[in-house]
Amino acid sequence: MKGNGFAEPGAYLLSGNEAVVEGAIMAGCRFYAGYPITPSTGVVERMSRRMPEVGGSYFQTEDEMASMAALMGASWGGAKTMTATSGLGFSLMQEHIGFAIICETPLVIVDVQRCGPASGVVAEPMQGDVMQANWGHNGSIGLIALAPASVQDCFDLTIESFNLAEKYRTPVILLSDSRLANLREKVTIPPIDSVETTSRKVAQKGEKNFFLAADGVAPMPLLGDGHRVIVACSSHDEHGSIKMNAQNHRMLVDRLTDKLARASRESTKIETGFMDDADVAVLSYGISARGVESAVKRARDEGLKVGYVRLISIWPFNEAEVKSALGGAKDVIVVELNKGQIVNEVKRALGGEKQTHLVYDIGQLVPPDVIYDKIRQVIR
Amino acid sequence: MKGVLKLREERCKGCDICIDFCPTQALQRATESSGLGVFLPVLEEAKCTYCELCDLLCPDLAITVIKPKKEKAARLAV
Amino acid sequence: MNQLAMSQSEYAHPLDKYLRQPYVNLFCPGCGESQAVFALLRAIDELALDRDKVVIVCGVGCHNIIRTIVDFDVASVLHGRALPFAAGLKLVRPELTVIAFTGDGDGGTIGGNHLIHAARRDMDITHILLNNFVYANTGGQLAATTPLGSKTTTSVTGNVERPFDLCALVASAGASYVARWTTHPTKRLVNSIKEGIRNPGYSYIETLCACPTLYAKHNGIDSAGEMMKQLNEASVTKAAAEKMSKEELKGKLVLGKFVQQQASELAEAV
Repeated sequence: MKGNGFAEPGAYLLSGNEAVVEGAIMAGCRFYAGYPITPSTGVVERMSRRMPEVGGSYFQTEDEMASMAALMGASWGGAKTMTATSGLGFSLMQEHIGFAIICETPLVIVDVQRCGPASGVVAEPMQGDVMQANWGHNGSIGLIALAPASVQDCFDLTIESFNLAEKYRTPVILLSDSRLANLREKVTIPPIDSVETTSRKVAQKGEKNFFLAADGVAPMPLLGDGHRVIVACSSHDEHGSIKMNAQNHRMLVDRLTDKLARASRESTKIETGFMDDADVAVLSYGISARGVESAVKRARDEGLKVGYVRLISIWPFNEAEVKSALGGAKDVIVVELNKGQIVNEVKRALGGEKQTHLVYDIGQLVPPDVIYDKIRQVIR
Repeated sequence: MKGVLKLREERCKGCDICIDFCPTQALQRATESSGLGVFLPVLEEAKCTYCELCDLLCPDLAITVIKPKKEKAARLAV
Repeated sequence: MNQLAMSQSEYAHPLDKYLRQPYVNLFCPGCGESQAVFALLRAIDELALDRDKVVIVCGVGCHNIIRTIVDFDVASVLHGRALPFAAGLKLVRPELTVIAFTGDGDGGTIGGNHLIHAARRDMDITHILLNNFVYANTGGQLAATTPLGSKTTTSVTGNVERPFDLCALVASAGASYVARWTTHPTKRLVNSIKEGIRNPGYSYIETLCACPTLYAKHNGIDSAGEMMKQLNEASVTKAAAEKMSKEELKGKLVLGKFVQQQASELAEAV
């Protein structure tokens, strides 16, 4: 570790939770407020040590609502901020997620998913918060969510989460899980100068008409910079004045959703393999994608025309790019650790053009054999 | 030198707090409502001691009281 | 009798410079919370604070009307969450003067947990809590601060629950400055707010406010002025209260400075 607290570039053996912390630091995170909840505690513990080492602040709060409120305050003070939690705590954060969305506050939430609902099973994985991530706040505007599938992903996608949060002034959710949290894998940490980071546009004193910015993202008038701004959870117009009428609110909702649509067009990440001539596609994301590649390779070795699609960007769900990634496949097998959340989005996007199938498990990973068997069954 | 008590009529909501608390009853309720439908306070200058209580208690910043010594400075400062 | 002459340009009120333009005051006629807003502005004015370095954090309730009245940075946050928002802001921008301005429902009920921990941490936040004994913004329902026997829309036959002594709560949790006042006399309240702002720890200043539209109406009190008078009549100072029996204290509101001590070292560390 360097004198300024940054990790020396090189290869490390880290857990998913540890990689998230190092990614956040690399991205410029200097404020962490959190509440311990299994299986995210590795993040909170490492952050408590690392934040002071890099000149940042660690603030342990009395509950998840306080964590989120503190993140909001710190972000509006100018800091890049993060918290980590699991399903239950994530539910407590929803009101503030809505607040962050309506007043366009950059922040990152790492949801280390576990079996739910409620306390469920503390240490086993479930991809149960996919829908909650996008639709859990009242008003259902949406946000950006990414799903890491490896510990290296935990590092890289945390940096990406911060960059997207800053660029589009939105909360970003990193959908991790309990397996990835404690899995140890090799992570390559690059030299800090080689990492591209984005910071929000900050409004200059005297700047007006924020919301008419050409790229759809208003410069942020930080608190304490003399703007005399009202940062509110209420609806507002293009001058930042509080407005409580239908017409104005509709314009606000349109502007926020347009911004997300643009973010989706500009930043969606999907990884594909063997899709050029695939008749069957296996689509997955996050931890459940771990079993897919080897199942597909096994099927390919036997001459079957199968390919895989791994979603890295989960929300906004980019129908056009997902369809395009699925190419000419006639069947889509969706693998996820829940009773079907992304599969419904895929179905909707395909509009009946292909057959969709769900392979799932709860609390444990779907092994490659099970996926391979399904491929054989579908491909006939 | 006289003190000053000015009422900004457009700010007054007719809550009567200034009237209720005036120690010399210098402020009384108007007998007719204003154009905005409010019963404004009316000042009997002779009774006013410029104690500032009405200024301090007004929930709408509708009354400005300037004590006798400070009147000239206040006028020039605007 | 002489008529008062209206003269907008001749004598601006000294506090006018702190008002957002155009000035519109949405509080009810006679509202004590509105009086508290101007007491805060007087304190800021007398301390000659840098206007660009003051941030007011309010929650949800009648009190958040402050956001459209004062020409300062204002964060109008979720119900009950002003204190942790203020904490996050203060931690990344320690040079700012952060003032939390909440109602009693917002700051003391839904925000109760944050109140306890803000006091425990003794962070440099000045918290002005406006207590008008009801949830006024939603129409006058029972609150944790409603006096025993008082009528509200959800206690039409009279409140049967004991009200909360929030000063005792924050004092026992570790706040370094705790006080309770009525809005009249104004200067007493203004001076306390100044002391609170100067204190580099958590300063809690509870202000008892008349609610002429709801609390007063439901409890047979005719006007704002009448409710203010009744609040002052029901008040006893801390010194006097110490000599009174429990029976004598029934129905009384105790005013004064309950805690004024050196901010803890914790206030610096956090």
